[in-house]
Amino acid sequence: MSKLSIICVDDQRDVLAALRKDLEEFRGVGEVVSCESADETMDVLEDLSRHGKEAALLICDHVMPGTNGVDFLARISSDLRFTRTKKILLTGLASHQDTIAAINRARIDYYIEKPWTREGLIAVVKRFLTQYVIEAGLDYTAYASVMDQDTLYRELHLKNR
Amino acid sequence: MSRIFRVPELARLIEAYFSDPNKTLTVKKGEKLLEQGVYNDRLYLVLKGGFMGYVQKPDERQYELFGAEEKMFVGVYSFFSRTFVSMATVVASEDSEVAFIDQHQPALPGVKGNSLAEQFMPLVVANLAQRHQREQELFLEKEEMLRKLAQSEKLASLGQMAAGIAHELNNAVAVMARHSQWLREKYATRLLSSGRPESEAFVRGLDKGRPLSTRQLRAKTRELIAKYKLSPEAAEKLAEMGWTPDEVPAGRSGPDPAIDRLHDQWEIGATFHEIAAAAELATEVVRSVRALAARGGEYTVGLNINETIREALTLLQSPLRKVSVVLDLAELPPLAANRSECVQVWTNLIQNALESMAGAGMDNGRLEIITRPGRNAVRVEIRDNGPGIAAADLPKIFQPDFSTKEKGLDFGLGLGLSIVERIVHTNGGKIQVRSRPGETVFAVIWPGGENHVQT
Repeated sequence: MSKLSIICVDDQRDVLAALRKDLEEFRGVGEVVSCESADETMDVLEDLSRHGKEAALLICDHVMPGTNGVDFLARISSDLRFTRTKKILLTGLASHQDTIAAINRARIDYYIEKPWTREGLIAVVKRFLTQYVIEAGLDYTAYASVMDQDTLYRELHLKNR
Repeated sequence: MSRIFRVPELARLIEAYFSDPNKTLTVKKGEKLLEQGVYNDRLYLVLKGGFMGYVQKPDERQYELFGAEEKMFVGVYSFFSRTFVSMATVVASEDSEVAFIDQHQPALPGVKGNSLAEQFMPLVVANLAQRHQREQELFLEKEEMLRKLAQSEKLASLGQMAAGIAHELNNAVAVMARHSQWLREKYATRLLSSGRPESEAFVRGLDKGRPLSTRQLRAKTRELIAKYKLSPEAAEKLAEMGWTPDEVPAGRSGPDPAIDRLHDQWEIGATFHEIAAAAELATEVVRSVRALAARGGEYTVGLNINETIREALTLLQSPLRKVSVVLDLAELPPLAANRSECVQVWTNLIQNALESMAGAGMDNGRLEIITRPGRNAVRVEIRDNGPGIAAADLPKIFQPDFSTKEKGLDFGLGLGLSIVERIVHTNGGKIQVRSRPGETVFAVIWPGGENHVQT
């Protein structure tokens, strides 16, 4: 079983640390990678790609110096190497226009507002890890502890139809 | 001189009809020349002084209708419409003299046109056009006034809202800050008195927080794995703490569980560190929102502008750590000025400079503040070496809704510079800005000699 990569992107180190704490229960089946900028994340993604791996989940802040979250996720969305990676926007301050761009251009999978709650974050992460595992054709039983049962049932049902 | 007389034809007309010394009147300031709705068959030319025309509306209020200065006409409507009833009450606004003709005035030769009406036509049209133009100007003035009023109301209500939010947040922030401090100290005392080696890791986390960037952390982890043959997890934990296995307290380089225990305590320390920093930041944000909302206040006679600059620097202590600050403060004459307004102007300008430099990701940011005495005024320059303001943006920077900021930080209202401009202008001061890449200078001339007191 290869570990699922969850990449958190935020320019604030304390926010990244808080995210890591909340995502601790995924440590067994996944690894949580922290990045402080879009550029750094790109390096990490390319590094994974070179080793034939990819990120399962990207949790990205919006307001960051340099490339902002929406622009970065839009770039990821249009890059064929990363099509399976699930994208979550985590932000405390996005305008109406940013939100529209996030949906239309960045094609994000989910939008979490800051401040987040641990329970809410974990539920969303489980849901999209499950989707990723099924879509990537991985053996979901290996990741049973972090699978979301409803999503799993639905995805399998759709797949076997 | 009134525009009518630029036309020679009209000048001749006036010369012909209004130079009879028997047909002149003196009107004292405040006296009525005409009364609304009352008989009038005269056309008056103002020789000296001036008049105001009022109409009384059914709601009993008086409205200013027109003003007539020297060489303008009064009674145009009642005379030429042949109703002989005055449409307005016309009062002398100063001691005045008028010449007049009445309805029995025959048409005189030597002027173009046969009848009086024909002869006076250009004059009447010119006069009406003049009044019309004046009305338009008044209308535009009022429009402008209303616009300014609406803008200041918008700012005022935003200020009130900000004050309310700041007040509510203040309590929440205070509780979090004080409780976390208590918790931190309690925990530290217990751990340190236990004498366990982990306490060193805790103190390290508490003092330094997380000094390494995620990039540095990854590099360090790889290095540790290669050099010490550690598991990735243990290597990452050691890297976060900033230790190599040899440096670990009490020589506990040993198995992963020992590193785990150390790291747990380090993480608790680092977490306390971050909570304290976040609480400090929140307190600062609340304080600046309150400053933003603060209005009016007393004039201090004998205020030293340099002091108000130092106050602003204190307020911005933490963001200022990221740039080098150069102060060139000259000896200044004491001014009569509003202390909190001064502080707010400097705070906003400095913040603006800091944000521009931070936005460009500069690590050699430099802020320079220069003060110089002037005659009954002080000149303050705030310079930064940031990326500058785009020429196209320069005319817009003082508009309340203009911001180049990528949201965040400044509540996204784009109000900073508009507040600065308002304060400087209401104090009779001036603000100038010049900018090119690498040098932006905001210069404020703050008036207020000892005798200068705003009302």
